[in-house]
Amino acid sequence: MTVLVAELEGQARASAAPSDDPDERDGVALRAGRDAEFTAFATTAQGELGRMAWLLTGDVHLAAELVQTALVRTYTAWPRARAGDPMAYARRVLANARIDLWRRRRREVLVAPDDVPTVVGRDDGAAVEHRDELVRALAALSPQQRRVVVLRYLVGLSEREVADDLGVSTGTVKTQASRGLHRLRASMGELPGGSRD
Amino acid sequence: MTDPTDDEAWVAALRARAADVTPPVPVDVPRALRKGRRRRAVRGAAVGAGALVVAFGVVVGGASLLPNLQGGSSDSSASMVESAADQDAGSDAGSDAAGGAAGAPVPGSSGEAADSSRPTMTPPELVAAVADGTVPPEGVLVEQDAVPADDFLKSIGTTQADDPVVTPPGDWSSLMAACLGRAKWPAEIVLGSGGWEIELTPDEAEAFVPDLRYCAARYQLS
Repeated sequence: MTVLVAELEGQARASAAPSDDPDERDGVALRAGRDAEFTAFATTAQGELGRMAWLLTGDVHLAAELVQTALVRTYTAWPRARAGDPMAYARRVLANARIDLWRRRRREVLVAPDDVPTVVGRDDGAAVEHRDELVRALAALSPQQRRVVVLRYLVGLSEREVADDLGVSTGTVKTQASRGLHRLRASMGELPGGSRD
Repeated sequence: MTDPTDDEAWVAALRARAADVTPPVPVDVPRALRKGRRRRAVRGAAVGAGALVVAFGVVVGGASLLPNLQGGSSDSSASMVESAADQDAGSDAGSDAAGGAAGAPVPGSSGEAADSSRPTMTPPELVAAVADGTVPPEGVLVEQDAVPADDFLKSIGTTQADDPVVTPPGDWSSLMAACLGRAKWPAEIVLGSGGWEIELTPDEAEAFVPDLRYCAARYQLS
């Protein structure tokens, strides 16, 4: 493997070196352009992907792993991804990776918040409590309901977009969203500003 | 029945709550770029070799059909070779053209995007799928964490070798990847800090299992 990686790195170095061959120069320029485009995209998208991954997993480390996987796979398919909506592509990969993780672990992962400060002030304590409550409420949903609820209500996609991202019908999205929302409401109760009464 | 406007207000409050409490998730963009480049390079090499085989088959097949299908065979050869070029993840120009022609990006449709929706399995799941004959026709992405589970050997249907190499947990993943690379999977294995992964077609999956067992049996965690 070391040999393989060294060989690949050697190829990368060789291809990055100046060349007299116009075709080779074009290839290097194309790659550099692609890398710059992808980097700009990833820098912009990382916040939203990170939020989505955290809402799906309830764990910062798992979320970071998921986003990393989504970005690597999006880069691998960059020409195709950029031809449409790269963000939608990355979201879709992230959702697929999430499914894979669930399949692999065979159970939901519910982890206490990672970033609990050592000294918790009154306001910080409320934030941690609210975060924990949200994580637990989302974890109580079925995986499919959680994905639909996160994409539909927390990421703010349309029913059509959620259906496209998850590869299901809009009818399924409507049903899952409605059931998921009611379970979430039952679990979390009223929120400040959450009623028009 | 809940009032829809009430639901909307609650969702708005939920969204505000989520925005307040969602922690920052660390993302290493340069690392993703490096791993993506490496993944693209190894896949490009593998797919490029496949395209050569397809092109060779087309040439041979086309030549044998030439007496009867002189006009048609050349068209078909051209389209097959174009198709093979579209699949070439290592060719920037080819894949850009394929991406443009494909329109909306659909992971798993073909070529580069295929890996995104290819089912992911752990090695034990792969072994079970091969045994059951249920490896998906589109192939699998096998992912193994850096440190194996306690029952890893049993779960893949093997036991420790008589003279195993005692291996610290931190080295197990790279040694496994190196062993599999030496066995016959040098271009396909991708090693990262979180473990290793490999993409396999159904035929490859079957051939991979004995090598997986052989390599796993060699390394005993210290």
